[in-house]
Amino acid sequence: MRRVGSPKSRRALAPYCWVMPSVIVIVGVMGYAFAKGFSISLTKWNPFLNPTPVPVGLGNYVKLLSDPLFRHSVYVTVVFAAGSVGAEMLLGMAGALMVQKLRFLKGLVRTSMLIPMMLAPAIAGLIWKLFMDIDFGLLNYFLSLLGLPEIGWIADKTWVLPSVVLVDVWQWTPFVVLILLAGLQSLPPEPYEAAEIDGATRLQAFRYITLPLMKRVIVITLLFRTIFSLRAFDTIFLLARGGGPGQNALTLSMYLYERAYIPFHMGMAATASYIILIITLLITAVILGLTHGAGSTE
Amino acid sequence: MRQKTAAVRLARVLSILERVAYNLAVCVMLLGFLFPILWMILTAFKPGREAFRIPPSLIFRPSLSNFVELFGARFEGGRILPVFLPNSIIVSITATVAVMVLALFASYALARFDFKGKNVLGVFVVASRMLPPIGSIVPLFFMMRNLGILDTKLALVLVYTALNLPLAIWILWGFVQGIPKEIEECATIDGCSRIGALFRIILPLTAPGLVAASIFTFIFSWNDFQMALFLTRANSKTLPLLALSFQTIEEGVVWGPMSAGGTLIMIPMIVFVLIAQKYLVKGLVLGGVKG
Repeated sequence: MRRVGSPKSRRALAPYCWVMPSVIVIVGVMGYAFAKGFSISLTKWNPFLNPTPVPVGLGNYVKLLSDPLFRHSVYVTVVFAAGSVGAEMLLGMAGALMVQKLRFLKGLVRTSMLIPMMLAPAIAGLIWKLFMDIDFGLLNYFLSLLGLPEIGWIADKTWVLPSVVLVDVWQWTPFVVLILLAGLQSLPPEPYEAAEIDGATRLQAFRYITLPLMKRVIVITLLFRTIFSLRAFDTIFLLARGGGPGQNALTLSMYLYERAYIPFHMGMAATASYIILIITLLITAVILGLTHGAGSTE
Repeated sequence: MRQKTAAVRLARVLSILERVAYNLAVCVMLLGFLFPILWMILTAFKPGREAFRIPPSLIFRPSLSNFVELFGARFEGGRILPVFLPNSIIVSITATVAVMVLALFASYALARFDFKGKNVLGVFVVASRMLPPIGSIVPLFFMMRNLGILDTKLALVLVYTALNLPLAIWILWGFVQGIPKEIEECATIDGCSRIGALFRIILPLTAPGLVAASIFTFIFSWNDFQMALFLTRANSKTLPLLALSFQTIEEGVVWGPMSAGGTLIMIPMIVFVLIAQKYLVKGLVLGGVKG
C-alpha cells in the first residue's frame, strides 16, 4: 500500500481502513440492490422477452396501486402484521411477567423459549402444515376431542389468515417474552417498594411504574416485530402458497413473488418491494410518532 | 387474635396458590411453544403409515425408515445428503467466519476511534437492518447473474454476509464499548501494537459477544429459505429448500419424510441453542434493545 503523508494523517485514515471492508460488503450488496431496485422499478422489464428495460417513470407504481388485488394484498399485510404483532406483544408481556415471578428453572424456561424463534421459518411452516391438516392434523383432532366442529385451517377461506397469524405468533412470542423479561429484570426495585408503602395495587404498579419504565424496551420490541412481520415470507409461502384459498393470505411479499417475479414482470416486482419498504417506513414513523407523544423516558 | 392468624394463614395459602398458578401457566406456555417441535421430531421416527394415524399414536417402535426414504432417490434425486447438506454447512460456516472478521474490525473502530462520519456510519449500520431483504431479490438475482455466480455458494455467502453484518457489528460494538480502555492502553505501553491489542486483549474479552453474533449468523444462514429460493437453481441448493419437495402428486404431503427433513434441519440449531443459550440471550438483548 502507498504510504500517505505524515504519520499523523495516516493515523487519521486508520479507522476507515478498519471499517471499510464491512461498509463495502453492506453497500456493495444491499446498498447496490436497493439503488438498482429503484431504477428497475421505473421500467417495464421482462428479461426473457425484451432484454432492455423500457422506462415507464412511475407507471408501475400507478399500475400497482390501482390494481384491486394489490390493494387487497396491502390490506392482508396490514391485518397480518397488526394481528400477529398485537397478539405477540400482549402474550409476550403476560409471559414475561409470569416468568419473572418464577423462583426456579428460569434459565430452563429461557433456553426453551429460544428454540421456536431460532427455528427456520420454513420448518415452522412444515410443522404447522402437519398440525393444520384437515384429516390428519392434531389441531382438528384436539377440536374433535373437545366436541368442537373441525376447522379447515389453511384450506379454508376464512381461516387461512388467522392460521398464518397463529403460526407467526407461535414463532415470535418467545422473542418478545425474552426481550421484555430482560427489560423487567433491569428495573430498579425502589419505585415498587415506594408504591407498596403507598398501598398501590399491583395493577396500579404495573400501569404507573412498569409500563412507563419499560416504554423504551416495549417500543423497540414493537418496532422490531412490526418490521419483521411486514416482510414475512417463508412460513406464508409454505402454508398458503399463491395466497391461500380466496387469496386471503396474499401478503405483499406473496404478491411480489407470485404476481410479479414468477411471471417475469421485474419492474413490477421491484416496485412492489419498494412499496413494502415505504409501508414499513410509514408504519415505523407512525409507531414512533404515537409513542413519542406519550411522555418519553429518555 | 385467632382471627388474625386465620387471616395470615389465608394470605399465605393465597400466595402459594398464586405461585402454583404462575408455575402452571408457564408450563402451559412452554408446552404450547415446544410441543409442535417435539411432535415433528416424534413423527420423523414413526414407521410407515403410523404418521397418519388418528387418534395419533404416542407409543410406537421408533424407526429410521423416514430418514432412509428422505435420503433416497425419490427426493431431489438423492442429492440431499451428498449435495444439500454440505452446501448448507459450507455456506453457513463461510458466511459466519466472514461476518466475524469484518464485524470485529468494524465494531472495534466504531467503539474506539473518533473519526469523521462515525455517527453517520452508526446510523447506517442500524438503518440497513430496516431494509426488507425481499426488496433486494430482483436486483440481487441480476447482479449475481451478471457476475456469473448465480446458483453458486459464493453468491449465498455474499448475501448472508451482507445481511448479517449489521447485527454482528451492533452486538460487538456494545461489547467492545464495555471493555475499559485502560486495559488496552497498558498493553500498548508494554509494546503491543493496535492489532496485537485487538487480538490479545479485545478478542478474548469480547468472546461472549463473538459467540452470540456468530451463532446468530450461522443460524440465520442455515435457516434461510427466501434468498436461497431466489438465488439457487440446482447446484447450490441448501437444506431449507427441502421444504418444497414433500408435496407429491401420488400421495399428497408425505408426512414421514417431511418430518425427517425438518428434524434434520432443526437439530444443529437446537444443539447450538442448548450449548450457547447464555450468550444468545445476552446477544438478543443487546441486539434488540440497546440503542
